[in-house]
Amino acid sequence: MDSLEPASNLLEYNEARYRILAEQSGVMITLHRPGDWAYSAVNPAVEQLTGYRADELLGLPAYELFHPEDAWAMQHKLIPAIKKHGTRTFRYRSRNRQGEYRWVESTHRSIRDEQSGELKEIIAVTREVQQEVEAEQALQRLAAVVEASADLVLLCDEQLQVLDLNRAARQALGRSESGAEPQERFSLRDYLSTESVQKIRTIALQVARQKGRWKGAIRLDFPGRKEGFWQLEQLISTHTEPVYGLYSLIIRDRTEEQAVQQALQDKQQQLAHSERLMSLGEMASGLAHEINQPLASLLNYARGGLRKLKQAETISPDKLTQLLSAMEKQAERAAAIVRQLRSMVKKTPLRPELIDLEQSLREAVNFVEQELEQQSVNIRWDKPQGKAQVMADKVQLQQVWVNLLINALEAMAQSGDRSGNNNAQREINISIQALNKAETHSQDWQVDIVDQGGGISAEEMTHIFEPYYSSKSSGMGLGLSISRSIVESLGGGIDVDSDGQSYSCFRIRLAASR
Amino acid sequence: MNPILIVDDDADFRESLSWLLESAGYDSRGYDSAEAFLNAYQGEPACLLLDVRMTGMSGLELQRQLIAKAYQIPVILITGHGDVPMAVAAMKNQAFDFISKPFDDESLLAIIAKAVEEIPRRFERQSDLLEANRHWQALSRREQEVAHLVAGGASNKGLAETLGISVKTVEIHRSRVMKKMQAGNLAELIQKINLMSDDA
Repeated sequence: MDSLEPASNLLEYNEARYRILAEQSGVMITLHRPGDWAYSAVNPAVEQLTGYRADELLGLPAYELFHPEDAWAMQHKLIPAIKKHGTRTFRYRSRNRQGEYRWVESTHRSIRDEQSGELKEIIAVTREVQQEVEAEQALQRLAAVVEASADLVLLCDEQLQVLDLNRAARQALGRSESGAEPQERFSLRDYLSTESVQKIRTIALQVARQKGRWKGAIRLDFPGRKEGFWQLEQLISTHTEPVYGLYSLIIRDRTEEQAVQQALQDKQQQLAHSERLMSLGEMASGLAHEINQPLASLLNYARGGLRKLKQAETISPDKLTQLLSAMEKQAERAAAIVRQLRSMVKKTPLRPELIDLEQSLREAVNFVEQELEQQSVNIRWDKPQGKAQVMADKVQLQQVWVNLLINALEAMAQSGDRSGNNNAQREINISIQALNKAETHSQDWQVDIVDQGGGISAEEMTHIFEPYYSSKSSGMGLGLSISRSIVESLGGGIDVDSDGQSYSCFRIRLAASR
Repeated sequence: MNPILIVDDDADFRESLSWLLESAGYDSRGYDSAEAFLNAYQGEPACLLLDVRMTGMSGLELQRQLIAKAYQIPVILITGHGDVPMAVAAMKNQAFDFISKPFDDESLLAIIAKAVEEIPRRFERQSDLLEANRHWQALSRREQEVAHLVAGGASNKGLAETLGISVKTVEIHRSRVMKKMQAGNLAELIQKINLMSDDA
């Protein structure tokens, strides 16, 4: 009967059962000698895990199988710890028979003599953890990527409570820098404007809840935070057990793109504006040609008629009727062109507005920036204290400045060519100054644009504002006459001054407006 | 009296100009485009008043076509006000002169008078040139080669060496050249060849 079996039998029986356990186990169980850590006993599972047969391992110091990077820690940290505390679990890489290092996890326990307390043996239970370690490493790599991302990545619940966030997000929100410490829970709603929260919830969250992912662009305002153009671009529902209803938010800083975009838009606007400026000039040139045609014809008829009469030839009444009708037709044609022009002008009504003179001039300077650079001409400014304001149509006034600046540049290019001295640093001086008129107690602004070109002779100065008077080989000679009519229509005046050799100064007076 | 031919796409301007020219005693004929003019004109003695700015073929292009045909008609170009680059291009195309619109009748008539004066000399040259061209086209390639060398002063013997043929053959080519080019002597041949190379 079992219960009557002697104690020694029971011992044997138990030993046999332990042996079965050890022999059948998939876990590697080994005994090591203290000192050299040599295998003194191993179970059959070693062959499966290491590829070595039991007899190959017995007597072999375990260190020899450790990865060089782990061996040092084993020797200097683990073994003293085992000796001191009795038991320790450690992960390390161990070489199998094929020469590959695999991640394993061993729990070591020291066995001491009950009486002397002397360390007799160490028992190690080892299992392979290669896949676990690989999975963890992959996760760590991913986490590192997310952490290092320049995009703001946040893990939130439906209420926008933040569970986790990467470095970029911590920086943007001004949260504590250490990623290791568990973050205090907080809500993204505390950082966002109400409008932004509203947009996230009604647009992005709705879609992500139904489809698992939302992609788009929602401009986010972080009131009181760093200036920038932030955009929520993705919101991904993360169904990771055990927690549902979590979302990853990816927010990108689009400040730079936005700046480029803005610059592009400005440029386009400037271009549209310059086209408007240009078309005035082109219109004038086209118009001149159009009016020239009937006028030239009219002159031909009249001069032909006069010539005949001078030669004492008679002109028959029929012929004379023909001639006068032809002349009438040409005069009509010219008149029709003028009417057409007038209706065109009417279509673009002037819009007088309060204009800051300096700003208006600066915009005009921007407009000729390329020419300035090409000729390496600097602008020197003399500005008044405070704002110089006038009432004028913005485009018209700029037309005047651009015109004068281009004239100044051309004058300087010509004189540069003549003297062969094109490299010297040259300037156009723009000065704005107040003119107080005592008699009316009013104020004018005077703008001087002074170039260092070849100057204008006294003779030229008397004609310079006349239409079709031009010193340039190309050009209609309309620029200054148009400029003068614009300035005069604003109740101002334009003058020129020059020493005839080294400078020209165009002086514009405009009534101040406050 | 040789006529003044006017090419301008503005009918009113053509008409008024022809009235002015008539008052100065000139016959005139108008064409509304460069194409219309090229279709009608056969190289007869005349003077051409040509507007540069036209729809379709430009005045400058018309000038080039006239040069290609070896026509010597004096061309006066009418350019827009201040259109200096165009005027320069016209002069490079061997224009007789140019005048910018609007113009003074006296200046125009003075230019026309000068051009008309040129007509006989120019058209004599034109007929010589056209005739020389026609004769030249009748020469075989070898004969053209011989003609060039002869005009360049090569002797029969030198020619034979250069071309690798016998002196006898050179003599045959040479007499054919003289006959086909209708040159009585060497001097005439040289003159004709120079005329053609000047024009090109």
